[in-house]
Amino acid sequence: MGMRKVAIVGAGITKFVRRAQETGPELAYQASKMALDSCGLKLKDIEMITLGTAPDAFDGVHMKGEYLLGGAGGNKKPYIRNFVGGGTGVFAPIHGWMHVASGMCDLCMVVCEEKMSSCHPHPQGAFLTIFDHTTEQPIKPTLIWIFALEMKRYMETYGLKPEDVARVAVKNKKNALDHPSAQVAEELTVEDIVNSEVLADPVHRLDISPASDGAAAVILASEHVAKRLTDKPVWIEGVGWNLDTAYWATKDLYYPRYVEKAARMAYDMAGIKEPHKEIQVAEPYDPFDYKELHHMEGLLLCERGEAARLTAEGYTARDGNLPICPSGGALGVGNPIAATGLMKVIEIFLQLRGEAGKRQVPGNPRVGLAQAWGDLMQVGTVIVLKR
Amino acid sequence: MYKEKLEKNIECGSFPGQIPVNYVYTLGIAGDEFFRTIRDKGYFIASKCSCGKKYIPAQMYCDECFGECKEYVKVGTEGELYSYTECYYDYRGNKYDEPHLLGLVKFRDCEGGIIHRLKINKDEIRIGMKVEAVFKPQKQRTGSVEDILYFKKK
Amino acid sequence: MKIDKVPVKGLSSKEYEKALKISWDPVLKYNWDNGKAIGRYLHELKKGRIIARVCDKCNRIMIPPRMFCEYCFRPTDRWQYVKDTGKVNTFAVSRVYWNAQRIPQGEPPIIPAVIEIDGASEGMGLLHLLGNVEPEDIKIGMKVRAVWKPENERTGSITDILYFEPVREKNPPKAKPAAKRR
Repeated sequence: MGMRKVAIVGAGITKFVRRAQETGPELAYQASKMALDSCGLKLKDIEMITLGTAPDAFDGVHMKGEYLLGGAGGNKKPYIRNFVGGGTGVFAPIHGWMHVASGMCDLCMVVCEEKMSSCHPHPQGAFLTIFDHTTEQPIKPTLIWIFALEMKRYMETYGLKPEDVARVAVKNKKNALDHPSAQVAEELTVEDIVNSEVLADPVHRLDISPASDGAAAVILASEHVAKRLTDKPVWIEGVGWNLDTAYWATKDLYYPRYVEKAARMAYDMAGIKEPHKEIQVAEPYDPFDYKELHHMEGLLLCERGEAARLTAEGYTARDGNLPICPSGGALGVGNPIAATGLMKVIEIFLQLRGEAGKRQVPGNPRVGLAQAWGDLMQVGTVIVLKR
Repeated sequence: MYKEKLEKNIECGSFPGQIPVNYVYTLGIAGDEFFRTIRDKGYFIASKCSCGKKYIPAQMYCDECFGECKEYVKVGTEGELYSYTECYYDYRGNKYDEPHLLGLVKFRDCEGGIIHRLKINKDEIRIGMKVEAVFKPQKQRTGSVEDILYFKKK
Repeated sequence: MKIDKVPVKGLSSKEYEKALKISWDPVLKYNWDNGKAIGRYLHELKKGRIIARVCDKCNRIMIPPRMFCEYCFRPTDRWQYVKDTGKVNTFAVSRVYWNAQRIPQGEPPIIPAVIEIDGASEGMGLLHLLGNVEPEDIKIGMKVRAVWKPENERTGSITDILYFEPVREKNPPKAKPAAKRR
């Protein structure tokens, strides 16, 4: 296709916290500066910048991209914000990839930020505004409801029990104990999850990732620059994204077809024929525990309806056949929406370099995947990395 | 675009609504220093980068070199009027009883500036003039831009 | 590289209390134009009916109605009334309001559901509420019907339907295994 190879050469991330004192730009700055330092670059070396951040209503700042500009190092540079709801965090590096793969630049910084604690009484309230203003908002829906509706349909379709789903939360929250950014890492049991407060049955409080403040950043480089900067570049081999209808209630809630389409796009590009065999470590988006299962299936990492069984068998554990969310995911590390997606990309970057420390999965993985999801059950964004 | 006309007797109409959330912003690492100093001491500070750049309002990072501004230096209360305007309507489009003078005040050797009300006779006002911040009495100050009442002629 | 130390600490409740903050209560009000399809939809709801639009190319009978078919990417062709009954595609039993604030103990839960409306194409669901039913009696696939507000209280809104309630039958149909749909 005439596109250049693009590598991730550096990364930075803040702690994910319930309430940061830092403003949004300050959070973005902390992650950006750390990413630059990680590969010995100065801001002046960066030619272009792409920023990912989710709905303006979280930070409560209209034109959030412009607001975050300084902290993301974007002053007087070709800078642009991208946005696909919760899918933003993986779309942002895809967007950065476009900048470099196209030959527009050799060095691009990708920054993702979210500060959800500003929104009161609870950031969930901001989600009301993503529903159709005339046909849905008058019913006063919350995003928790539609997750519950989707989860119910998914569980019903495959005959799953709450315990089958809760194992994901147990695994991820435990994995997160080894992540320095983690907000809600904890060793819990399946009983703790299913006995936690019911918010909207079948969703319990511990089935859900928390609202968080945080930021993350990566540095992308073209091939010749990447090889100068590091002897361990991690290549972006495949990218894919896909959106389905905003009439979310009219589609199959038990299977995320749009995620499959995004995944197939990325796999085709990366030359992956059998994802369940070729992907060695994956970070699917897990804002709710069942979503990890849902996404494993959509990503063709297992047969439909099989993800819960595989989880129970330890297949997705850090030392399992296919480690899923070794970082601890949104459920354990926290979920500052856009920053979460990029945290997942950073996790795969570190895993493939063998630099994930205590979180390192065995077997020297060469191929990994990160995925995010969002909007009204609408978008899948997928990135395949190789070393 | 559509072949049909609107059905008779059916108004398309519109549906009312609003975005019902509110916000509480922390002022941030540098913002907390800056506004706390206004509240407690009644003057402005700038954040300073190791490259020498200074910023008002204080910001945590340097726009020039992207270093962290770890130092805060006292600037005082005096600045220079960079530009001004006379406003007749508020942000909702309601007419003010009296026109408001609004100015951008810059500070010596500092990047940035503060936009605030001016209390200066119209025949005396000119770009470049020295101005000075007038603050609320300390007990009434909360650590916000509203702790400044206005800028007056120095 | 190693990422073992990360910046940003997070505030405890006490520190948050102490930190300088400023609050903003935006007052942003909107009037969203209905357009032709939703205008007619609301008009019919006021009359106690649900109306759909049909695309003659893909033969989908669509609710909420829309003036263009997003798949065929052409104008839809005609109006068609559908029933005010349907079946439960999925449901949840909510103890939280829209802003995640808890419903007080002792008050009944809110039961949101996706309801596939009879007469519309298969899978055409609406978000609405279930009522007049105990949560434990609800089954996916259950037949339900709309309970309308009294005519003089209807305003031309989706809330002119108060909720959907079960159509009580002797042998309720079992949940259908999820079928392939476009």
